[in-house]
Amino acid sequence: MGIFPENPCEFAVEFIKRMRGHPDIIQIPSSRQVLSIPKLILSRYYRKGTITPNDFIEISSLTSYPDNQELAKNIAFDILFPNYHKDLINESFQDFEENNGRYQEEIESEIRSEMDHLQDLIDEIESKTFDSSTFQKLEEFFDELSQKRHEEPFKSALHFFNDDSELYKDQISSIEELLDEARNKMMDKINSLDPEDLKAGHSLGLDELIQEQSLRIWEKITSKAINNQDIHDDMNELFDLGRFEDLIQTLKFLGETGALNKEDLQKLKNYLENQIKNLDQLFSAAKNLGETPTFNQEKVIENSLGEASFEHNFNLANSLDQYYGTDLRNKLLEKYVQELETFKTPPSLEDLTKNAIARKSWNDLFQESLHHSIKEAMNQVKKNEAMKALTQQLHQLTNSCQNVHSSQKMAQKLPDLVKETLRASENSTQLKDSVEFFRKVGLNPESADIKNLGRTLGMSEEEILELIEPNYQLLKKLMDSNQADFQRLSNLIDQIRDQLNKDQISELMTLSLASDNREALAALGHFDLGDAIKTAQEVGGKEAEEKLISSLTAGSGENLLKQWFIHRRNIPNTSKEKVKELVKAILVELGIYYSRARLGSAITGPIPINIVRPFIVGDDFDNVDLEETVMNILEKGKKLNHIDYDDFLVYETAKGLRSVVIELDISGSMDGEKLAQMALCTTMLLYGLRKDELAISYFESDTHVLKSINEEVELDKIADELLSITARGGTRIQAALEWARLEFKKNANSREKLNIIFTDAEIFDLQPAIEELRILKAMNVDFIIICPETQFNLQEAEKMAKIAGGQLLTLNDWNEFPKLIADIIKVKF
Amino acid sequence: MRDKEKFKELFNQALVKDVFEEEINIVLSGQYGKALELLRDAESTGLYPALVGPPGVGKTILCRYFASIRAKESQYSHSFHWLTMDESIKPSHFLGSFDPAITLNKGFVLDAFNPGPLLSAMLEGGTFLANEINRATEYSQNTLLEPLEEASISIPHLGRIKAHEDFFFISAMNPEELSGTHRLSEALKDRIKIWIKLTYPDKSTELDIIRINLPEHFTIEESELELIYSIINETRKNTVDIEVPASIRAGIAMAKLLGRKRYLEREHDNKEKESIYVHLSDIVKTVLLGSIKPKPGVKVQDIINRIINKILGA
Ligand SMILES: Nc1ncnc2c1ncn2[C@@H]1O[C@H](COP(=O)(O)OP(=O)(O)OP(=O)(O)O)[C@@H](O)[C@H]1O
Ligand SMILES: [Mg+2]
Repeated sequence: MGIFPENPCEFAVEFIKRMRGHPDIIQIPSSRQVLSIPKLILSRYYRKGTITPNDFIEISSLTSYPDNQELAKNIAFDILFPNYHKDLINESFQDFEENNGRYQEEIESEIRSEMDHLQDLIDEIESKTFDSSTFQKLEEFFDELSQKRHEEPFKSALHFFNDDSELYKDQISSIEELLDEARNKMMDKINSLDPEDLKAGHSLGLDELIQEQSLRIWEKITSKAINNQDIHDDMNELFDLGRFEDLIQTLKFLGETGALNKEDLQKLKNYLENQIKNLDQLFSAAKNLGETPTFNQEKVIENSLGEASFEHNFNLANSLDQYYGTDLRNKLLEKYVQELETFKTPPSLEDLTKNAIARKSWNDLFQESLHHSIKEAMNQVKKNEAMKALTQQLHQLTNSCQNVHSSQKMAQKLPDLVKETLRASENSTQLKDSVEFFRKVGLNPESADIKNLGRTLGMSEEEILELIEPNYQLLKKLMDSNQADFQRLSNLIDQIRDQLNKDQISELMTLSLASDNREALAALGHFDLGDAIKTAQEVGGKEAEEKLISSLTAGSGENLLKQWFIHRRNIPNTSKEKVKELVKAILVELGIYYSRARLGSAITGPIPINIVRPFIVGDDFDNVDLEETVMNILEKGKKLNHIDYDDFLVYETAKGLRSVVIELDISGSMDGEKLAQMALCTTMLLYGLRKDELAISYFESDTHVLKSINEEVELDKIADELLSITARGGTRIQAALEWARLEFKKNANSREKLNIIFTDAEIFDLQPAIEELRILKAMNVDFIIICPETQFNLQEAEKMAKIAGGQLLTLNDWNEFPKLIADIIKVKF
Repeated sequence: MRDKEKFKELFNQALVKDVFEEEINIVLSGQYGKALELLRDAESTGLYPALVGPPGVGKTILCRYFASIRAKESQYSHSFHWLTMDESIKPSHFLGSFDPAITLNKGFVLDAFNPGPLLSAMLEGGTFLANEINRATEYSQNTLLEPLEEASISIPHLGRIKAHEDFFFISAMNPEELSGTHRLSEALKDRIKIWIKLTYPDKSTELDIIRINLPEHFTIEESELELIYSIINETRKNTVDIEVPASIRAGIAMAKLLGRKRYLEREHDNKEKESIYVHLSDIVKTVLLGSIKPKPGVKVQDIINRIINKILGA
């Protein structure tokens, strides 16, 4: 070989062979790629007159599908330079031999003659050349290089190369070529040179070039300085013109290249004192120089105060304090307090909370700001409302404040503010509202305050008592008197869930049974289903138990479904069946409801073919419905030459059936939420896609088929199955995918095929699963994999999606599951 | 616009000339020079290429430029046609369709047929760019199979035509992760032989692109350009929060906005230039808001604030 580093045809065959055998391959290369490679190599040779190993590598990569390109580069490099990665020699190619036989045959039959033709061209080119010394020269040069790589000019020239493989690829075989290429690479970087580049450029004698070509003043000045030229005038000009950013960059470069000695540099930096006018500039100087130069603190803060917002300034001061050890925040806050008169409005509570520090200056400023806010609230017409809002804001800010000290300071102000707010009530309704409001957000007003104010506002003692001790008492009262609805009772129970003990639940149950309060019974049942049924049994025997169960429907269906999956093991056997019947009815009903609400009725089943609409430009003329069109024109009484586009009516092309196969991973799920949402999703699909081809399974180590495509199922029966399904262990994705593939293959008749798989387990059987994925892809199945966003390792799932040519979607809230599935189906069809 | 004459005049003024007369401001260092060479290799071997890259890395401009060189060099292939695809694209949008009114009068005759961009390119020996090809449905993608494999195409009712030998086809697409709902059909994948990836260019190239795209009177300082680049680059480094980072367009937009502000300051003879930091943080906020796409659950505003904080300090 002289012209070509390797015979292009043989190279291509070897390359494709290795690609096909590699375990990381994503898209198996087509056999015709073996022709594209030598063709392109030849074309490049004809155009440039030479060909380098780099051309081989680039062309191998380019003719490979984008996802395979990295792999292709490595494989091509290994073929050309088998000794470069000695230690990594590919253990992964063990199964070559196997693939080899099959591949040779394909070449034989299909492509051989074209290959022969290319080989003739190659032979012709090679026969004209006698040069066999290229490689020898290359190797000699590399020997020299490896000895002198730390000497100049080698060292500086190599600076512009990423690594030695670039030299190989470009066949650089003499110092002249090396310097030439280094110069080119430096030229490309002019106007974005970094300090190291400038140093290397100097060693290669390129200073003049840089100073001539660069648009950047700091590149020019630094280059001069490295080259020992005088830079006094340049620097003076920068200082005089106040070109601050250029100045900073120049100082940075002078420092990092070591072009100036420490003292000279320091002298220059000292001049910055007059240049730095505000915090922005101080930050820029510090960031670039790695330290804060001397600056006039008074002046900088004074200027900044007038120029920018509190938050802007504080953020800058904060960054500076944090990274460069200044104490600017405190100074800044002190200055704000001092100048409060001039500024009139202090910074907002919100800004101060975001920018809290444990300093007296901050406390003072916060105090001022709070005063100011209270004053404003009390000036409002609805001052009670305004105060409530302010208190809530302070409460939220207290919780969100990152600084513990400040947060405490803020919390200390809360009780007073609560009291002030109550005091701002003008009548008993406002007082009640405020008290309830504060309790809801967890701020408990003092009983004494409520009492005093209640009396002042003329409330009766009874009213006042209810305001003071609301929860359990109120609950009792409501349950007894059949007054409140399920939602209210549930909320109340929820508020005191941590205090409720067994006796109290018993008491509440007795009360509700006695007053025959269905809503109350439901609220208790939805709080803890297992416990409630047991308690009912204890309190009132069989009859009570039945009453409770029949009341459960008063609550939300979704919640009951969740309760079922969480508590089903704790439900006494006597009533298990009954509860299950109830939940089952709910599951079916909700499934239908979800299907209508989420999937819509429009998308189910094939769309009827007899819809016509007016022609629009771009429509296929074949779709014109002649009969309808003629009728239409006759009806309008039009003459031939008055006929226009929209007089034509076209068929709306009908959609075919769709096939959807879904596999849901139930392994290791003790969580009621997940099973409930999966069950809901299942009934939703069964109903919504009842006219389409649908198959659903749950899987873990086994695959539980709920419905196969060619099976008619009753919603009721499936619901029953769903409610009793339990997860055992392990996850076998491959088995589930295999089932899906067989469904598509044996039972599906439609053109549009969609597979959705959900998993939240670690994937252990990726390799066998990959085979299934490739087949699904070849069958043209649209593939979606869903994983929880919190999945430990999303990479495997990503790989699966890639191989199947599909998409990975993530889920962050179980409540979103049916919606996500519905959205996928709507988008895909 | 009621006045037909006025319309005609304006239209002719605005009409894009042949590609070979159009002036294209393009930077050809770094990946672009290489990609251009590759397109030429592809052309001379008759292998059809695809340009793959995220939005705004210069796929379209490169194709236009390539088409313009072809136009200058060849005596035939002056034309450049393109079609940007989505779900609603149908085969007739490539090929052309019959004008129903004429067809009803005269039948399916040549007169009644309005050729589409692919057919025109095939007849004229021009360059055809199928932009965002992976957003078209598989059905429409299949229309391209015959032209790519046999260099011919069949027009219903009229017959089959053979493409001019200078006809050349390029496709462009976003990487699969970013694409819409459809993917490239296996059959089409097999017919595209060269996959040219474009990514965000290296620093010196990107700086040149920004410079070349700035109108002359909108000059900005090199130090300002450096800051703009740091911001753009910051969005590309943060792959944890950002799904689609700022494109070249975003950098150009920032530079233009800043250039305009500077221009206005000069116009009004403002002695005190407003500080670059204030300008830039305003500009960054508006431009980035529309040009980066965060990962699900991350707020763009937070990302922008962090970037501003890191680069500009506030
Ligand atoms: N090499 C270049 N030289 C000059 N300008 C460029 C270059 N690359 C990109 N640009 C500019 O960047 C912008 C985006 O380029 P272009 O529209 O070609 O991108 P695209 O990859 O086709 O984007 P999309 O995927 O959104 O279609 C344009 O304004 C273009 O002028
Ligand atoms: Mg484009």
